[in-house]
Amino acid sequence: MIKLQDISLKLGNFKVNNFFMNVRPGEYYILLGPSGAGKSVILQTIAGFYKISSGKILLRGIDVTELSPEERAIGFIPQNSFLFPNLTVRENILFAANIHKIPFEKVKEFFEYLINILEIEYLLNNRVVHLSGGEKQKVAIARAMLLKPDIVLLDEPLSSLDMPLRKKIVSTLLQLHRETNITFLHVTHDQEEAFILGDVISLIFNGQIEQTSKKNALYFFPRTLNVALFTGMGNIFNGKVVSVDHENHQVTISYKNYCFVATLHEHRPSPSPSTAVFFGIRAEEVMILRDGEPLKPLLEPNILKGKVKSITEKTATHTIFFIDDREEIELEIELSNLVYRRLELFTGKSIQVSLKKSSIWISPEDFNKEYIVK
Amino acid sequence: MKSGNRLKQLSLSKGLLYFVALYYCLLVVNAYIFCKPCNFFELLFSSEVLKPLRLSLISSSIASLLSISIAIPCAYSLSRNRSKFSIFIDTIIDIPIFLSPVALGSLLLIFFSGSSGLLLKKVGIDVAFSFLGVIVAQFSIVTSIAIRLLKSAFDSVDPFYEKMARILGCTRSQAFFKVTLPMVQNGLISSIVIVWARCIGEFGATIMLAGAMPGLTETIPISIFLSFASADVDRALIFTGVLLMVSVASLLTIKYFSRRSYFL
Repeated sequence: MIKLQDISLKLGNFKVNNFFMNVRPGEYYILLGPSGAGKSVILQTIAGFYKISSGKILLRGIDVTELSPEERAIGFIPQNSFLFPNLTVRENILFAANIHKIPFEKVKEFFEYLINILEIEYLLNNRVVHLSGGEKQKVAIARAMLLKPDIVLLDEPLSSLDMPLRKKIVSTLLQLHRETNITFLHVTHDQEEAFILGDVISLIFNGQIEQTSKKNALYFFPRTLNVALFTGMGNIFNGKVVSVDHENHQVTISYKNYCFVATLHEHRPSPSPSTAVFFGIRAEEVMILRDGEPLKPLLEPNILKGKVKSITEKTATHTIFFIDDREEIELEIELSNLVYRRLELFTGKSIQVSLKKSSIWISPEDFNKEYIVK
Repeated sequence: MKSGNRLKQLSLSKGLLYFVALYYCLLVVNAYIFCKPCNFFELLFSSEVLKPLRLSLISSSIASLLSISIAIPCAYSLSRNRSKFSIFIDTIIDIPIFLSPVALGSLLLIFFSGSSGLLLKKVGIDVAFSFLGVIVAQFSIVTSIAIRLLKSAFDSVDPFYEKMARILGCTRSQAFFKVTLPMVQNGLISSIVIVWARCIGEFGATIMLAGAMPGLTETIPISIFLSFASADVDRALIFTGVLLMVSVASLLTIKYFSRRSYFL
C-alpha cells in the first residue's frame, strides 16, 4: 500500500539515505523511534511535504513521487491537530468535502459514524480554540478520515495528551482501524502506544530502520543494540564468546570474571568463539532466588551472589538495583509489588539472583563492535 | 525596604506614562481652547476644506488599495521564503520606512522628471506635479510599511496549516485563499487602516513630487502647511482637526480588530 524504494533526502543537517519501507494494505504500521530519528520527516515525505532527491514513493502501487500533497489522496493527523481556528468544528471536519465540492448528503453517513465513534457531536458548532487538546485531536482524526482515504498518516497524534485521554483515543483508533480497514501509518516515540496499536513495528534510528517485526519479536528478539536499548533492555553488557555448543543450542560468554550460559535461538546468526558480543537481560526477567529453596536445573548456570544496592518504588512495581559481591556487575531487577513484599527486600540485604539462560539476549547484528555499554 | 523601592519605581513609571499622555492631550487642548478657531463648523464644511479632504480621501484610498494589493503577495513571499537572497530583498524593502519622506520624495521627483518621466509623458502619463504624483508619492511611502505589517501577520500563521490544507485537497492558491488569508484577516484589516491613515497624513514625499497646487495636488497636510505659511491658523487648525479625527477613528478600528479574534 505504501512503498518507499531507496529514497534519499536532505533537510538542513538531517539526512535520510537509501530508505526502504513497505506497508501492506489494511495494516496498522508503527514507525517507532527516539526524537530526531527522522520519523516525522519520513511521514511528511510520504504526504508530499518534502521532495526526495532520489528513489520512489509508491502509494497503492502508483508512483506518486512527483505528485503534490493534494493529489496523493491520503489522510494526515498531525501532532498538534492544526485545526483551522477561523472555522467551527463542523466546518473543520467537512473542509475536505467542501474543497472537493462533495455534497453533505454523500458524506453524511460516514460523518455521523465518525462523530459518534469519536464522541464529538456536542462540539460541532464550537470554535476550535475553545476545545481541549483531546477534543482537538478527535476533530483532527475526523477531519482526516471524512473522505475515507485508504491511507491515513498519524504524526505522533497522542504525544501532547495526558494518559487517560491517550488510552481513550488509542482504543478509538483501534476501533476505527478495525471497522474501516484503512491502512494506518503511525509515527510515535512511545513504546506502549506502539505495542498496543501496531500490527507491525519498525524501529528507526538516524533516518534508518534497524528492525521491522511483529511487536513481540521486537520486544523479545531485538536485532541490534539500539533496538534493545530503546525497547527497555535494562541490563546490557559487552562480553566475549568462550564457546559455542551447537548440539545443545547454547553459548558461553565471559564477562569480567564471570561466565554466562545463554540459549542460542534458531534462525538467528550465532557468534563464533572469541567474538565480542553484546548480551543482556530484561529487568523483569532477572530472578531473585529465595533462601534455602532448591534450584531448578534451568536456573543453575548463571547465579550471582550479592546484595541490594538500592530500591526505587514505582506505582505498580519496585526496581531493585543489585550489585554482586565482587562489585563487577550491577543489575536492574523489576518486581511486582506483590513479589517485592513477599521477598522482604531492603537495602543491603544479601541475595542471590539467577539469569535464566533462555532469557539472555545476544545481539545478533552487533558482533565485534567495541562500543562499551557498561 | 525592597518592596518600598519597587513601589516607588512603579509610581515613577506610572507618573511618566500619565505625563506623556497628558502632554499629547495638552497639545490638542491648547491649540483649540487658546487659539479658538472661529466658525469651526462653518469652515469645516466649506469648499476650501472639502476639496483637499476629497482629494486626500481619493488619493489615499487608491494608494492604499494599490499598495495592499501588491503588499499581500510580497509579504507572503517574504514570510515563507527564508533564503539569504530574501533577507537582502527584505532589507531593501525596509529602506523607505527609515528614509525621510522628503528624501524619498526628492528621489521620486528626480526619477519622474528625468528620462523615465519624459518617456511616461510620451505615453500620456504625467506623474510629477499632478494628482497621479500624489498617489505615486503616497504609494511609495506606504508600500514598504504595508509589506512589513503584513509580513508580521503571515509570520504569525504556522505554514503547517497550509500543508494541512494541501493534504485535505487544496491547491497552493486555495490553501492561501481559504486558510492563510482568513487566518490573517485581523492583521490585514489593521494593516489597511494603518496604511490608509499613513497615506492621509503623508506630506514630505507628496509635496516634493506633486507640489502644492490648490485643487489639484493640495492634500490635507499640504493645506495645513500652506495655511500656516499664509498665517491662517484657523484654517490650519480645522485641517489638523480633520486629521485628528481620522487618526482617532483609525486607532479605534485597529484596536477593535486587534482585540477581536476567531474565538470571540
